[in-house]
Parts: sequence; C-alpha cells; structure tokens
Amino acid sequence: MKATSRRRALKVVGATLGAGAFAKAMEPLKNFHHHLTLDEFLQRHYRELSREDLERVLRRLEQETLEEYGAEVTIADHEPLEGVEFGYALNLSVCIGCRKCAEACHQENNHDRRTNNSYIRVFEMEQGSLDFEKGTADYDHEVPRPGKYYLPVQCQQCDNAPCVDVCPVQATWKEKDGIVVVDYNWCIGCRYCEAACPYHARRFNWTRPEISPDEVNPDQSYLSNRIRPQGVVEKCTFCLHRTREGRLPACLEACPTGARVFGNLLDPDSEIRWVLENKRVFVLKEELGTRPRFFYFFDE
Amino acid sequence: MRMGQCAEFGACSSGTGRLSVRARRIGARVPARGELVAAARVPPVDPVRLWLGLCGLACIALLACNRVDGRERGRHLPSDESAGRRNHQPVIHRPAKLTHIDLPEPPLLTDVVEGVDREPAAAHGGAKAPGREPAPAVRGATLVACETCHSIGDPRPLPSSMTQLATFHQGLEFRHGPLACASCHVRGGTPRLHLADATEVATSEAMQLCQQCHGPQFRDYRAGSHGGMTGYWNLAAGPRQRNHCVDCHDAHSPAIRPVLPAEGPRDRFFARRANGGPHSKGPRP
Repeated sequence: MKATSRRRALKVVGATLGAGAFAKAMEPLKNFHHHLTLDEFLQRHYRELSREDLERVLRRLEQETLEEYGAEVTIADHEPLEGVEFGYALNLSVCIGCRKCAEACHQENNHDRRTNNSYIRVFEMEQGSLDFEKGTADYDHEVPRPGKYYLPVQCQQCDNAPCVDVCPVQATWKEKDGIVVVDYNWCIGCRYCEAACPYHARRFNWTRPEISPDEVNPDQSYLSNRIRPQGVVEKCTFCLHRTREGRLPACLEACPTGARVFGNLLDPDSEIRWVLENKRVFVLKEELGTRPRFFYFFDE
Repeated sequence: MRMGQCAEFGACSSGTGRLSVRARRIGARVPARGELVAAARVPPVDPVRLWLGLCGLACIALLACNRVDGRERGRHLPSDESAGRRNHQPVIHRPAKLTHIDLPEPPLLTDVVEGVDREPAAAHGGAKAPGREPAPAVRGATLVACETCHSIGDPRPLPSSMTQLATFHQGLEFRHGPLACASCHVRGGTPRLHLADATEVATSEAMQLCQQCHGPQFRDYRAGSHGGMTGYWNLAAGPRQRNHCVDCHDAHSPAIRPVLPAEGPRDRFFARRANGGPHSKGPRP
C-alpha cells in the first residue's frame, strides 16, 4: 500500500477545514427551516400569482399553520366584489368606550395574545376637544365617565393613503373596494408605513404571534386574518374575509350600543349612505388630505 | 501582456526584473527564478471540478437545511392569466344562515330579522353572535318570562307609581321620566302594552310604543344607524338580526349603565408608559 504523502494529508485536512467553514457560513440557512421555507422564499407577489400558484400557496400556509400552531384552518382568497366600495361610520354619541370592538377584533383577526393586540384603539377624550394629546387609550375604569367621550380609531382605509405611498416594495396597496391590504409574505418589515400612518393604524409583529390552537379563528383569508409571520406589518382590513362574503365586520357585530354603521358606499339605499347624507359626519385629521373612508358623527 | 501589469502581480517571470527593483527598494525578499518555476509546477486545481464540488456542497447544505417538498413550482404565468383570476365573478362562499345561539330562557321578545321572512321568535339575546355577552343594560336583568306569574291569579289594578308596589316588582328601578305603570302597561292576564291611542300591542312590539316619544332614535333605527346588529351588510347574501330597543335599554331605566371596559392593549407603547418611559403620554393616533 502506498504511504500517505504529506501533500495528500494536507489536502484532506484542507478539504475538511474548507467544508467545515462552508457549513458554518451556510448556517443561517438552517433558520429557514423554522421561519422561512424555500417555497416561501421564492414566492411571488400576491398580485403576480397565478390562480394555481395562489392555490398552492394557500394550501402550504394552511399546512404551516397546522405545524406551527396546531390549528386546522381554512385560508381562502377573497376578492373584491363588483360594484362595492366599503365605508364605515361611527356614532360618537352612543359609543361608551367598552372596548368590545377591540376585543372582537383581537379574537377575529388572530392577534398576538401576549400583547392583547387589536387593530382598534379606543381613546378616552375630553368632551369638546379632538386633541389626542389629552386622550388615553389604556383607561381601565368604569365607562362612560362624565365629561369624556370615546373615540375608537382603526385603519381609515384612506383613498390617498400615505402608508401605500411609502412602501418601498409595494407590499401594501389599495384594492378596488377601497380596502388597503398587505401581502404579509412580501412585506420586508421596514415599518415605513407604520411611521407614515397619521392614525397609528398599523402594527408591527415584533415577535411571532402567540395564540393557542383552540383560540385560533379557523375562518381565514390570505390578505386578512391569517396568522401573520414575525417581522411584518399588519392592519385592519375591514374584516375582508367577512365583508367580502357580505357579512358585517366583527367589530360592528360586537358593538353593544350600535355605534357602528358599515356598508356599500355605491349603494344609494345603504345605511352608510344614509348616515353620510343625513348626519353631520367628519373625518379625522382632514387637513392631511388622506381622504379616509372612515367617518365619525354625533347625534344632533 | 503589458510589462507593467505583469510586474504588479509578480507571477510572470518576465516581470521579475522590475519587481525585484521595486522590492529591493522596500527591503523585501525577491524569489529567485528557480523558485517561481517550482511553484508553477504544482498541478493546478481543475476549475470545473472545484465548481462542481462547491455546487455539490451547497446542494447538500440546502437539502439538509430545508424542507424541499419536491413539488415543481409553476413558472410565472403571463399576466393575462393573473388578470383573469382577478376579474372572475365574486363568489359568496357561505350559504345564507342565521347565527344565533339557543338560550334556555323562554322567548321574551321577537328579534328583528331583516332579509328573510320574519323568523319565529328567537330567544332573548338570540340575535347575539356566539360568545357575545348581552348588552350592558340587559345584563343582570331578570330573565323570567312575564307569563310565569301573569298567567295565574287575578289581575289587580295598576298602581300609579313604583312606590305603591306591595307584592310583586318591588325594588324595580324606574328612571324613565314621569311615566306611570299604566302609561304603557295594560291591566290584564297576558302582559300587553298600549300605545298613546289605546291600541294594544304585544310586548314584542314594544318598539311601536317607544317610537312614540323617541322619534329621532326610531328614524335612525329604521335607517340602520341606531342599534346593534349581526349578520350580513348585504341582504342579498344573507339575513341580518337587529337588536330590539329593549335588548340594550331597560324599558324601566333606559339609560345605558356604566360597564367595565374589556382589557386594553398591552403592547410596547403601553408597557413603556407604565414604566414612565419616553411614551409616557401614550401614542398619538
């Protein structure tokens, strides 16, 4: 047998070291297994997906939810309805600040249980003022309190949405029916939109959302309430997984005083149109020119 | 090859002369001609093999780290295909259905159902979505049907005020203007109400009674901007359940009562606020 030469020995040692170094350099890829699969990495933008590809993506997301959260869910793709543009109005005279809307949103949209996240913030405001500096959103006393009124704030679905303008990767856009949506798989988590929104309506997933399997709402949609990944921005979608089926949003159904009015702005007989035509409505921060689709009004 | 370029790298023997001059200036050792030739005799690594090897290693690493499900991903299809998907007719995914929970209490009120023929009287609170609590004013109210007592015994004359209640309904909280029992109630076995023109109506039709004084609220209710509801905004897709006046307002004390709010947010803004951090004034909307 031929004796091992020094050169051969060095080659073997060098190759081993090289392979080790290469493996070490590739180590970050291992995290892909837990947080980002190859399929997800290669996934195209929602609006570029063919129907077959989208179907595959939806089934994959369902499988991932089952593996990661232990919950069997149905993730659908709800498309905008023809001849429908959504509008929302809120009667500040009857809102009592009970936060039932925020609670319903929390459950409906599979929010992180740890932070009790919700797309709705209810502000306790000084009567006669619209100064948010004087408002608080973390009150925990009996409501309504004399001298206060309650102002729930959520995404205003602006027609001239600053959050859409600033997105560097076009991961957020306005749909035909007026709803501003996010492709959670395209979002890079830069949070420009969160900074641009004058209504503080966007939330960032600092951590992977925590939610127990029995609390997961299985009725999910790609652009709406599916469990968001870590590191992406999320926002109110007027519950498009419900409203695009013709149902009312969860926050409206939960409101015990009936302060919320939702409907199709293009339907002249809708409740929302009646409110816009018969009540003195206003929008928040009108001077910014964001043209919200969320209106507030007081009874006379 | 240009001489200068060769000398910069020092790998070509023809450049050694110039290199050695420069190296001598900085005091470095210049390899002799023989040494360079010896170095050139080391068998060069085949670049194709090296590349293949690296590719193989990368593949192994990727395979080890990823779940590759072997499904062939479809290529990006032309945009007209995607456009076709976006334009296809909207589908209502769910059949029209009533969402109400059956409570054990006997029916007290007929909930207002729009979009379908009037449904049989749902249980009190039947219009609520599953898991939803009754409206604040109703919470804690008695859920005994009037008939439980009123179907037995002889009816007595109605008192003119609450203070005269001797046996039944004692302690009934009454804060509803200068009304007396007989302003709304009809004396008799089955509980009935009467309107201002003495027309008798069933208790389930109390809305007729309320709207005599609360016109603006009734107008708003009819227009869909007063009173809670569940179900469908699009009545072509499904029905909608509307709350009745007395779902939220106790007829005898109609003002909404104070409630404790649901739990507030616990996100970083509010956590910091509790610690007196930079967001001590709370977030701006």
